[in-house]
Amino acid sequence: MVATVIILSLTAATVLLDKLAVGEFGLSQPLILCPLIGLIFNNFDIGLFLGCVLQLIWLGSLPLGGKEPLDNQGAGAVAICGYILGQKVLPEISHERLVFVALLLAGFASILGQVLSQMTKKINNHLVNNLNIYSSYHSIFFANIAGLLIYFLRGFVLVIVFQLILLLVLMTPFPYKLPQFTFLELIILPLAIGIASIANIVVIKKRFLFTIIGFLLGNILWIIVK
Amino acid sequence: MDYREIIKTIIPSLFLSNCWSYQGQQIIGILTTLLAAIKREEVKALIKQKFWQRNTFNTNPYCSGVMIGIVLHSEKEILNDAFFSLQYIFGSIGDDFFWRSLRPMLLSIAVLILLIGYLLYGNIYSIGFFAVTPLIFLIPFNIIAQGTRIRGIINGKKYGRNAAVQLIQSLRRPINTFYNTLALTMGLLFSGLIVIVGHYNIGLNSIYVIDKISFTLLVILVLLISFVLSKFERINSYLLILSLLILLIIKIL
Repeated sequence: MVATVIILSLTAATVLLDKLAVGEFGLSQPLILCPLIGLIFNNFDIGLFLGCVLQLIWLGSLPLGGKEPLDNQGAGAVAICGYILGQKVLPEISHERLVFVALLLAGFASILGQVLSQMTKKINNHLVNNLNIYSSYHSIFFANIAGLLIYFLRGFVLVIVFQLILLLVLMTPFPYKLPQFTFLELIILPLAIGIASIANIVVIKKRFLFTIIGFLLGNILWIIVK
Repeated sequence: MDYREIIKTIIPSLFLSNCWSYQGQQIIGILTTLLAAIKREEVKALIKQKFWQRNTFNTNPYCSGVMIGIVLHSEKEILNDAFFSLQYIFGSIGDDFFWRSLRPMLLSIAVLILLIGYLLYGNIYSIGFFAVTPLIFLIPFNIIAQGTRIRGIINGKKYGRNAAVQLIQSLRRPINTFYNTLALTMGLLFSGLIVIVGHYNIGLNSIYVIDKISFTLLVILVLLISFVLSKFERINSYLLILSLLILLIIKIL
């Protein structure tokens, strides 16, 4: 079990480097990260579902300028790792119950992830302060590498903290007392929050006409399909 | 610029924000990239001097390529106020293009297609071809974003400041289309939400109207609160936790 927790945390922390440190390819977005980690640990379908559910919630929280947004990437990592760990520890618990617990953890993880990112940037201030106009290329290079390691640690700490919390929760009767959810129920509320997130961007940019067209088009298409 | 030089510049530029700090922002990242790409020692010393004098550097990471390319094009002559002001221009237009419009648009399209898959198949374990939808975001986003970074380095080195002007124009043009597509996708997602809530209510094994109304009301409430209180930074996280707990209470009751 300890090995699973560590392997999951290391894998998630590696993918989370994409958020700011390595290339920003978009691999750390929940829609990619959850199925990716799910695929590695043989849980692709649930990973895809978690990614789909979590992706839109924090869409309006953007890293504009120096602002630190809520950590949707960290939330995705905590959710999928939590689900995989839960399944290993309590295989008899239904998938839907574990997904519910994973989503709940993701909500808290988005906040802690933001706080940890802010701390990381404050720690990096010390690295910058140690350099000056006379610093050699190697000093600057190693400061950059140190920044990479600090960012890796941020992701590792975030995921491992929530896995330990989950382990404590799984030792209580709480998971067994949960009612039986359906996947449909679990997708609706996060989707509503996600749509409100996009609505804020649409309202700021005053694109209501396209929203109405989309809404009508969606209904027409659904009637045709039915 | 041969391919070895290009790779030698591109790879460090991928680590631009490694050491992002409130004080120097991307200064360590940009210095690492530039010092790795430049050969002449006196130019290296000048670059260090000019950047440390300002003590800070921050721009959109995908647009940083063109700034790096411009430095490689004219080396010491370019490091003036006009050059450093480019970071704010690219910070603003790059954030608007990549973070606020392109990424949300592609992600919401991918989620929409995935939702269609779930609705059509009615099963999250076998959605056939729809399982590849994450690539709908990943491939176009990286072609555009990393393409901007790489093309920026090459064009910046080749054409100098003209490459910056060209990039600004090419980023400005499609933003409106992205916002329009995002708005259209939001309308489609909203109609999808109504269909899903309808499905839920039809499938609900209850003869009491109150059971159906309570969940629908919760959805409407969550949607409205999230929209109205969007100014509060962490509202969506709190709302996710709260709405899941309310769902739990509804289910228990």
